[in-house]
Amino acid sequence: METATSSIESRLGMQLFFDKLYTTRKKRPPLKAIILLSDLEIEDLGEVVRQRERLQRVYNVNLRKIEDGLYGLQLKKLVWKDIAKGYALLDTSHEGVWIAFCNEESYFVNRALLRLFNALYPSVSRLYLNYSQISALLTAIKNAYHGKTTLTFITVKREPKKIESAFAEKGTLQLWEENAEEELLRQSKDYRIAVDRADFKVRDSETNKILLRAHISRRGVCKLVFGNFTAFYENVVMRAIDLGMHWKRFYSHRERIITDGKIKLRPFSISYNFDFDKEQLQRLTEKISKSYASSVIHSGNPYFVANLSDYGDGSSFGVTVLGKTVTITPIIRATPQSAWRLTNRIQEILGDGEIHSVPV
Amino acid sequence: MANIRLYEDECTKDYRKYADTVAVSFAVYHIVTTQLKGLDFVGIEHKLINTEGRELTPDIVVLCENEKKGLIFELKWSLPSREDLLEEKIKELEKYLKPCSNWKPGGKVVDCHDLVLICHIDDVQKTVDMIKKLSDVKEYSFLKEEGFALWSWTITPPKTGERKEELRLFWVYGKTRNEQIERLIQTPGGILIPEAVLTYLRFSLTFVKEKPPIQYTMTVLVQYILAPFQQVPEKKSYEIEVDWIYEQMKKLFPSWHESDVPTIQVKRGWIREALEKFWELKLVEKIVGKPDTWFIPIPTLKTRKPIQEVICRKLSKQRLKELKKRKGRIGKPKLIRHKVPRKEKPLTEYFQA
Repeated sequence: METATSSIESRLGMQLFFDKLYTTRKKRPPLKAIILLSDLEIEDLGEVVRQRERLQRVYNVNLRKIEDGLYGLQLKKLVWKDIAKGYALLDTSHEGVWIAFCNEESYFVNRALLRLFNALYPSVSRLYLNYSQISALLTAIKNAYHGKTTLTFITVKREPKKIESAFAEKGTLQLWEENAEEELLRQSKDYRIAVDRADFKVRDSETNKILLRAHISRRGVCKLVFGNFTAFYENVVMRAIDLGMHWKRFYSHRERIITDGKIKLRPFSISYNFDFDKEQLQRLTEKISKSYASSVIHSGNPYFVANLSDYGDGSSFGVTVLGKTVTITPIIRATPQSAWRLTNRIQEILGDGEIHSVPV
Repeated sequence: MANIRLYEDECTKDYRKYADTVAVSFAVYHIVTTQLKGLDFVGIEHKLINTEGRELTPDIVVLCENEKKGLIFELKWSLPSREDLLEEKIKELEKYLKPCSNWKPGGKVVDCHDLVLICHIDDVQKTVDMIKKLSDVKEYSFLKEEGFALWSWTITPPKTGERKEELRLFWVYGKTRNEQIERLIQTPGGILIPEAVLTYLRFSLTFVKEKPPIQYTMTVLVQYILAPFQQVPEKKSYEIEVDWIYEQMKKLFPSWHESDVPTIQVKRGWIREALEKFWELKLVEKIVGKPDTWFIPIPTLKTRKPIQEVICRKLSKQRLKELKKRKGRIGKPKLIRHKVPRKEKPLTEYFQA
């Protein structure tokens, strides 16, 4: 697999190769398109890895330019005295975005490739989607294909809305049936739900023929299982990037500013259709403190107030939970990637909600 | 162990009280600028000069009735429990009620002005008692005259059974000479502060004029100044100067509402004191021959718990240790167990054999 991908010598070659590979019916690992946000010069990637002692110890990065905006990434990582190695293509033709295409086994992708990108935060950051954003993306995909999409499989993390609900189970829920959206709507009445991944099929609306089988994950990974790669690139990856750019703009320029002696804040909120229990907010305190420098003023009775700083890039936020709304107020420094990551983390803990700007 | 818990709770409670007082200061600013008509907001920590030529910087300064009258809001996040110290604090209020000038740049004077003291609900009873006691003394009779009022605040769920909490300012004692304000504060339940203050406006400011408890400054330092250093690649420690921190803090918590006169929220002394405490807790080191420069190891208090909790735990442990040291040997006499010399057996053992 690696040999074939690593022999790609042009963008056209990449398209033809993946087109052929994913339109033949054969068992193979899906093609993972990892969407990343970065303003880093791709050619500096090796240097950035070398600068970080922890990464340098376990990673060997070899970057090769194929053509403008397309690079080959040969990656080796030491995992428990073994070496996980593989190959990925990096498409940097869209400003501020990298797309890593990789058709290696998921062990390499999860243990080596994604961990490298995660460790490069804040220079490289992931794209995060919640349930309503994934739904919007599915609609955009359906329109782009002029077909109909069917959710075939969905993984959600669910927790009862009320801690005391004796019969409600928490944990990961997998819905296999077709039209999983309806079941999900039913589930959302009793549970707080955070969608992890959605698998879908696009069928031709006239012939009912399968045009595409793919996945979208919460953390911006689109997987092609079956279908034309060129159409997947245009209709799924590009739509996801469009959506990503929209949300990047939403999270941008939100730092507190002071003009003529007056403070201007640009907060945003996540709204829910249920109240939070004291225990749920207590868990928010515990979990959020693990990934952020936090000071909690009110831990939720049921008013929650905390100051959070991102260890990674120094961004800082004020977070409150009042009634059914979580309000996030960027304070001193707030990069869009940090604001986005925090919003995702809060939703992973409390469930997916609707994100809006707070009118000030 | 029980004592540690007690100190810790007290420590985190003080942290919360200060943070909430910061929110309340914005609540007062909000009602003055949006809910009340005809009030001219002057500034936060605006410098007034009293008849003795002394500079005063009350928390919030407002002009009313066509700039003929003045109004001062003074916030106290905590008042002392010791009667003599509390008495001193209340007596200090006199300076705010003497005629003042400089209500606007250029030395503006007003016909008269009022003072509203806002304190935490925990301090209300003892403060009212002290005010009543002192108001009988001629020198402090201003405490029972019109023009002085005491307010407090609460964050509680409303009585209607809804779950959303509310911030309310309520009347406790005295009266201002502003009818509009009196009507508002005397309404049953007091002044309901808009939800925006509880959700995002509370993050406008980080400090009020009054010195915060040390755990508050320490938490702010760890969170905003030291946290970004945690991820610097290839570094295991760094040196930091008080002046640099001060400049950073000025940038992070800048002056506001008085763009021409800088009001610096944080004071250099607070930073120095917090760093000294970090040193006592062995979290940072001093550098010989470099005064005001500190050696900070990485990671510095990188914790998976809320920072103020960890700081309060360390402070409580230290306080307990100090108390034990101070008690020394005078405390409880040690029990000495009587030991029988090795070769000597008590007679009873022979009988048992």
